[in-house]
Amino acid sequence: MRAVVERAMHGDREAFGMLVAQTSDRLFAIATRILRDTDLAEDALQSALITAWRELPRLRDPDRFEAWARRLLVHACYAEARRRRQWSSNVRVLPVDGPAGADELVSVADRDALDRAFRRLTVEQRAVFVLHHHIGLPLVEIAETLGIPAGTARSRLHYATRLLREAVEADLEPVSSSSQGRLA
Amino acid sequence: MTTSRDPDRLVRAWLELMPSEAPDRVIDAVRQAVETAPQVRRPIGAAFRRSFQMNRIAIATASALVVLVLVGGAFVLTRSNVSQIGGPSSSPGSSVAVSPSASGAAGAMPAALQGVWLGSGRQIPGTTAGAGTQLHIGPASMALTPSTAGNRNLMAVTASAEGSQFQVQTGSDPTDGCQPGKTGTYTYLLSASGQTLTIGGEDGCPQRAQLFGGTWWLSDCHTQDAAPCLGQLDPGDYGSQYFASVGAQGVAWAPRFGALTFTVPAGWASDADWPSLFSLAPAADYAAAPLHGTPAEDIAVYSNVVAESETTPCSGQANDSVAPGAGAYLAWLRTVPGLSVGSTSTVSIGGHQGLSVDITVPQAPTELCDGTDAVIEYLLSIGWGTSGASTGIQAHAIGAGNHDRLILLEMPSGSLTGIVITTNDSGRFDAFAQQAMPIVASFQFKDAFPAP
Repeated sequence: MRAVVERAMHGDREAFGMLVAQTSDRLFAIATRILRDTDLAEDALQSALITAWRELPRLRDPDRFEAWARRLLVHACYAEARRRRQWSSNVRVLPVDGPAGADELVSVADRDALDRAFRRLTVEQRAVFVLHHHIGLPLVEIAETLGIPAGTARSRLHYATRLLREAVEADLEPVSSSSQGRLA
Repeated sequence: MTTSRDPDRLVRAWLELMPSEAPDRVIDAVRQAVETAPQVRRPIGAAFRRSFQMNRIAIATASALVVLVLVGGAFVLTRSNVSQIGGPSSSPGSSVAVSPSASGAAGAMPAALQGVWLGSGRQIPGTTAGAGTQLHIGPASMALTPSTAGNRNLMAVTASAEGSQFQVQTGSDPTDGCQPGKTGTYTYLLSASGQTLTIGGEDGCPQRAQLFGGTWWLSDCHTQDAAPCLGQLDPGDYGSQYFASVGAQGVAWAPRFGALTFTVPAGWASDADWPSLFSLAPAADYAAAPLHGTPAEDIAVYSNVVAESETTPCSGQANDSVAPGAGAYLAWLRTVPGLSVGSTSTVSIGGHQGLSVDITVPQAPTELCDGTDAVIEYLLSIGWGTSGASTGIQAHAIGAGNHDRLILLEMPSGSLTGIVITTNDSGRFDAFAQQAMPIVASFQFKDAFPAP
């Protein structure tokens, strides 16, 4: 991959196309999870990749291309989220009546509770949460990726995790199967 | 019956519900954009350190500029007035011609020239009257675009270089008003810093010489995504591309080159040029600022400033209970909990009268802005346009240890322009203000829109 990055850094558009092919799915997955909106995620991905092409000659370590691209993407997500916050009073709410999803663990009610809780997080808190829980990045690397102190990353993750846990746990209070009909 | 599910597992499973495959249309759009987008040059010896400054929360986004609708019109410029504004005072002796061998390919445009350059308005159909122009130089092509739509070519030619000259040629499908195959030969001079490009020369198609000729400044903004601020500046006189401080509220914003003009000595950089925010910083602080960060010290100019509602920290909403005018604004400012506001001085900048105060925060606020930052937001720039939305909203905040000087100028339209001289290190404020005030004193504000 390093050789491809170096070719792209020197203006090889074909090489950059290969990098896009290799990384775009992973980057898109991050963007959709931070923004919870596929349209905004597409805009963020497009913006981040075009910026990556333009700024590529400034990349200091070709081996760090994907981490660097992740950073551009997260900042593009910030921009998209704030654009929505400022310019639209009609926040699109994801449908809660879709298929149950991953191993049918997450019920419609869970999704609803988690979606609502997630929307209460700032986009900065969401980014830390997604990079940690979806990508599996350690906090130190998240801090480096986002250009924030490790303590800030830790507090954002702590806040986000606590809020989402509370959202689920509120839904997990002892209930009778007859009243809710939802069992583990 | 009691449920026994693991909340963490639920949350992780919920995270996986979103799609993970990038749509082909996005990839296609990226590939198409990359075909015409030049890469920026690698900065030489640029320092890098992380900065965690929190004294300005920028709410506007880069997208604001690219979606603005351009109106038709033309602005006739001649070679002589192309350089009226923004001609850095670097002498020919301080400039260098760059060998094309730097690009690594014979005949290719020199690497030092490849990139996006900003300049004053050119006479091109489809540009907003008075708006600036972008010059895109690639390895074998040159193109002019409107200052607000870098992906919309108004004129494109093939280009090749030899020594300190380059040649352009009209393609088979002319977009420059010249006959197919028509060539022109230009000389160029690049300042020692590589930030200022001066083009002149002979062209078999004279109107093309008027478009390319003159002074161009490298769009070298490393603190914003795709935002065309200039970055490091040569000493000299400059004009803003997008910022507007004088205009009628309710009238849609339109760019006007030079709506704010200023003079900088050596060692300064421009790190933001938005319709509602223009910013200058010491070059070293600018170089140290990360992507989307703000320099540790800078001069920020906000248009259309209003007091901010304090119903919640950093509400982002205008405080309608504060009367118009600088006096009423400062009276309100003295009531904001947590701020220490110094004595009021009268000022006059660019012919506009105003008031000035110094502001500090003796103790870190206990209520967090946006849930994350211990700062107090005290200034809101509501932007331009019928709703303010089209040009973004900016807000300025201050934290403990910071020191701001706020200058509020009364503009003819009845609006306030806010100039904030700010540093993260209050111990450095006097020294920084001494550097900054001569630049502020050079500010001149011009009617931005409706277009002249």
